[in-house]
Amino acid sequence: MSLLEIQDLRVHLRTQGGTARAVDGVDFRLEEGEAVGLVGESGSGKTILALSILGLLPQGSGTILPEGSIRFRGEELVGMDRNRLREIRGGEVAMVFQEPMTSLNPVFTVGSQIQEAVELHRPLGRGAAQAETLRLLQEVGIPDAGARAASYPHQLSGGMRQRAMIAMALAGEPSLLVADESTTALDVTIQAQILKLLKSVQTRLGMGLLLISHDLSVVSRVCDRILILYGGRVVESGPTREILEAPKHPYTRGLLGSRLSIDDRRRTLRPIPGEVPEATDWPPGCKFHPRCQEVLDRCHREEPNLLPMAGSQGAVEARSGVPGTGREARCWLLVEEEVEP
Amino acid sequence: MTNGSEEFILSVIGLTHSFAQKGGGRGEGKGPVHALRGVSFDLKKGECLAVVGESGSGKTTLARSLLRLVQPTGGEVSYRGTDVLTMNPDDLLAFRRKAQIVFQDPFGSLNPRLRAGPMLDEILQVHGDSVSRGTRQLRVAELLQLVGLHPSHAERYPHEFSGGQRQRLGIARALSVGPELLILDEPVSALDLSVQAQILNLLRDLQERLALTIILVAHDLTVVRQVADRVAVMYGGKVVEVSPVQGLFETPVHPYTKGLLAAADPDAASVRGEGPWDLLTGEPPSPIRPPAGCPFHPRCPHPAKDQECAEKPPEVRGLPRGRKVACWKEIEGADRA
Repeated sequence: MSLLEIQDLRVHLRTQGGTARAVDGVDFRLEEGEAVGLVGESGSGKTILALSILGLLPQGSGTILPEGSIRFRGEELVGMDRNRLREIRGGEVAMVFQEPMTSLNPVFTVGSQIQEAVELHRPLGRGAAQAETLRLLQEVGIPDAGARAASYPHQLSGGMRQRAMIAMALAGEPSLLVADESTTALDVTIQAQILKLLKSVQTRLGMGLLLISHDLSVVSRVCDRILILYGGRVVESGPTREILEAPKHPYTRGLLGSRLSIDDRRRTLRPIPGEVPEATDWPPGCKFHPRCQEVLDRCHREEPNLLPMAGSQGAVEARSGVPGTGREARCWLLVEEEVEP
Repeated sequence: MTNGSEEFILSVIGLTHSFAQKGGGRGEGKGPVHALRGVSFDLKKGECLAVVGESGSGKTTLARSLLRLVQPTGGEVSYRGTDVLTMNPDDLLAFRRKAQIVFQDPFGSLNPRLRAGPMLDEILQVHGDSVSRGTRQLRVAELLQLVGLHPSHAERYPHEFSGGQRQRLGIARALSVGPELLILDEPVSALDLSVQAQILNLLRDLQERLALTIILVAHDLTVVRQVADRVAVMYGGKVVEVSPVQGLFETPVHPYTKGLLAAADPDAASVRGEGPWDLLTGEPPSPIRPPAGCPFHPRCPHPAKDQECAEKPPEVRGLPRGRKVACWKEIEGADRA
């Protein structure tokens, strides 16, 4: 049984411009203790996907509830009873968002908010919960934890606030941590520190980690495996090294071509032309075809399937054949020689 | 991308800026914020100088001071021999036609009820030489195309543009008055990577086509690698290293520069090759109570001389190949401070 297993997940939102197919058929698995990266541009559906895992989709007339299946340790989260979902959320499954200032309550001290999370999810008395709060603050590398526990969110720097958010996420001893663009708003130096922290707590606690970012190089520093999302669908997946060294999908190659580096050899940037269209406006055929520089005739008409690819090594090879774990890509270029009707 | 001539258009000498805090800070005590603590550099015509540093390093205050959007408390900004900081209002207006700024989020500075076309048209009416309506219309279309937008985008309201397109519009607006100096403050940090690369390519293209002089402010060194001719690294309100771009990336001198490079791109060959360079621990210093001595010494992985680093701020020293550094360590070829 996988820690997280998502099958044919669809989230459609009703908007003024029509129905937005934000998540449009996603399959993947995340195993116990595994770090998986989810990469895509704004509008690729990555945040909606994350929110649906936690049952945090905005509740309003416009939202159509997710269809498909999200299983956490075999337990179905789609349509789950609210009370049970509340137990899991913040407990076994925790989340760290991009802007901690909006997720922290400005009128309570950081320590009291972490302690509240500890008391909610663990059977500890007040004194023990207080001690646990200080331990968590130390765990995430906040110096002078006692004094910092008494600080209000606005008295902390952006990096310290993000550390406090991670401490709060760890309060329920989660087995899965979902981190959505959690370093994007930070200085590169602090970003590097937070990524190092995420990796170290993930390894030390044997936690599953789903790290979501628009930045392939951020994700590749932390994750074992990467999923590339476009148009609400996975277009390529595989072990980090294979994605970086032998990308199969033109979109992945585009993301790699836009990656900034301090090495001179990548001096000419080859960005992907155009931008992600509105989710109400996906083109027919392959959703990437209007921006694709290797487009074929049939790309305009038919959407390709996510197909398993050869070339995987070791553990991944053993699991290949199971959807959502191995080396896969969704592109007509990869099947062109075999089938041409 | 420098044109070979050594004409300086801007000289900044000992610029300082301190201001009173608004409201409570992060519990660092009361007292003025020392945003700039003696910044000096020259800007050659046609070059792109990147100013890089973390939050709180003073880079945004510097960008605004150069146009006198804030009035610095000391020092001099000399534009073609005239001090910007003491210019009369008429001269200042003329100067600001020659020097324009683009902010991180142009959305915050675009009127939500004004379409792109009329917005540019208004600027041309006020500042430009294109008097007739027809000429202005042509000029608007030309400006939009110059930044990679379509003339039909003139009909759109700001909210109808994507983030990348809004940044292009912000650049078009800055270019509408025909400046020779363009200052960009974190122009790509709010954008997707693929769009960042598009905007950086656009900047490089514009610099060549319009012979612009550019100051590019960023916190991420990888962003400036492809665009800048020279880089100034700021820390604690001071410039700690200035160097032509290749030297800075390949053989950085200041330990802070090395830390920034390691944080920005830990997989880069240069970062992995020598060392590897240490990842920076800790956070930037408080601008309210900056540390004595070298501003970087509390975070420095290899302080050169304990006593000096902690007590005396290092002087800026000249190095071969147009480089400068402020650090106490022994450096071959450095002139004596």
